[in-house]
Amino acid sequence: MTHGRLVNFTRPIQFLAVFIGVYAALEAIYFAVPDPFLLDVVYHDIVAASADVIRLITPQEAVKTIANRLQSGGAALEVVRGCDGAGVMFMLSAAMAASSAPLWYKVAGVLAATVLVVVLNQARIVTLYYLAVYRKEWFLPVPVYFAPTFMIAVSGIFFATWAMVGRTPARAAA
Amino acid sequence: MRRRDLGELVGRIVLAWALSSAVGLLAGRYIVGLIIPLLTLASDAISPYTTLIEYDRGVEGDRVSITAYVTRPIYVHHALTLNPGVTMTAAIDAGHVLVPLVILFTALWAPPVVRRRDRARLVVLGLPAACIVLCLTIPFVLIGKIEMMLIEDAAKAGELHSSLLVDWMIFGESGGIWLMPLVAAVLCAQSLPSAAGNENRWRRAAENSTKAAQASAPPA
Repeated sequence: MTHGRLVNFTRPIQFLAVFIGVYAALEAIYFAVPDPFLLDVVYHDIVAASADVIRLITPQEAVKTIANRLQSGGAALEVVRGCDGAGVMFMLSAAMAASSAPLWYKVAGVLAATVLVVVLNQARIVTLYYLAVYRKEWFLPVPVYFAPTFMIAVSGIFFATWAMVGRTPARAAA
Repeated sequence: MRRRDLGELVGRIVLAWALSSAVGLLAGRYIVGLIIPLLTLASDAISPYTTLIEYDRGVEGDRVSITAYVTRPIYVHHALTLNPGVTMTAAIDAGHVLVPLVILFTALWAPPVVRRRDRARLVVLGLPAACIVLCLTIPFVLIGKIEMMLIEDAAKAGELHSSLLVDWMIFGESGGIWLMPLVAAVLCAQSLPSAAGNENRWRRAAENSTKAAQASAPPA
């Protein structure tokens, strides 16, 4: 039995070149998005979803959202450019775009990656809120040190899974 | 897909991340202490200042601070020129310095290797790669913070300035600080003789040299 491969990594230097190019292009587009749109629309939706999760877990927390700000009596958090998981999302999208896989598989991968990054980022914001209220000594190390490396590690696992699932068995040999 | 391969890969990533993070947490201050001379050299090279980088332990936690000494007049805006002797300071959380290292060594531990010796090679290759990645990230963050203060000051005075150094810092802070160690890890893995693509190249080279030896051998 042979294995057909949806994802192929036989040209790593070409992969890196496309990966960096696509990443840089996505970053350029991201920085072209005006601040008011991000703050009042995108980040407002992010903090609103975080507030809903916090109210669900701890209904006694009187959290409210004002534009990109999540606040209660105990803490106030602001989601700003760079706190939205866009960097990780762009990295995953660029890696998938650079892989030699069918277009449908890349699109499916990017959609799944978007869901993963949104969930991870919501979890990060909710965790930061609870740390700001109850464990202030951990408030700095988590977003600066643990969260970014954790998100990269999880993204690496996601990408590896995507690439390895793309190896389809049972293509009959000619 | 071989489920076992994927399981092993996930296990390696999780273990490498947990170990690297723990090493950074427990020994981060010593690691940062070791690399401060390198960071100082890099920040002197990229900025118009003479710099001093230090590790500080204060109420705000462990921080890496930079003191920039102005050695020649620096124009900020029409009403302000920094004269030699002026000093400026900026600081970042020490954990920030360790982020590219954790990502790099996690990524170096992730790929499967043909021989165990290759893993050791990857880790050894990771040391110069770490130095390069750190020089391309941390000094730019520290100097960039100082440059941003000056740009903001100039903007308040009605003058708009831009700086490539600040642009690079923004690129780094918006994800480049994660991207660079990942690229470095791929390049390290690719430099192994057993890496994908390299094996064929080496095999062809070996075949060519065998053919050449056969061609030059005298007929029996």
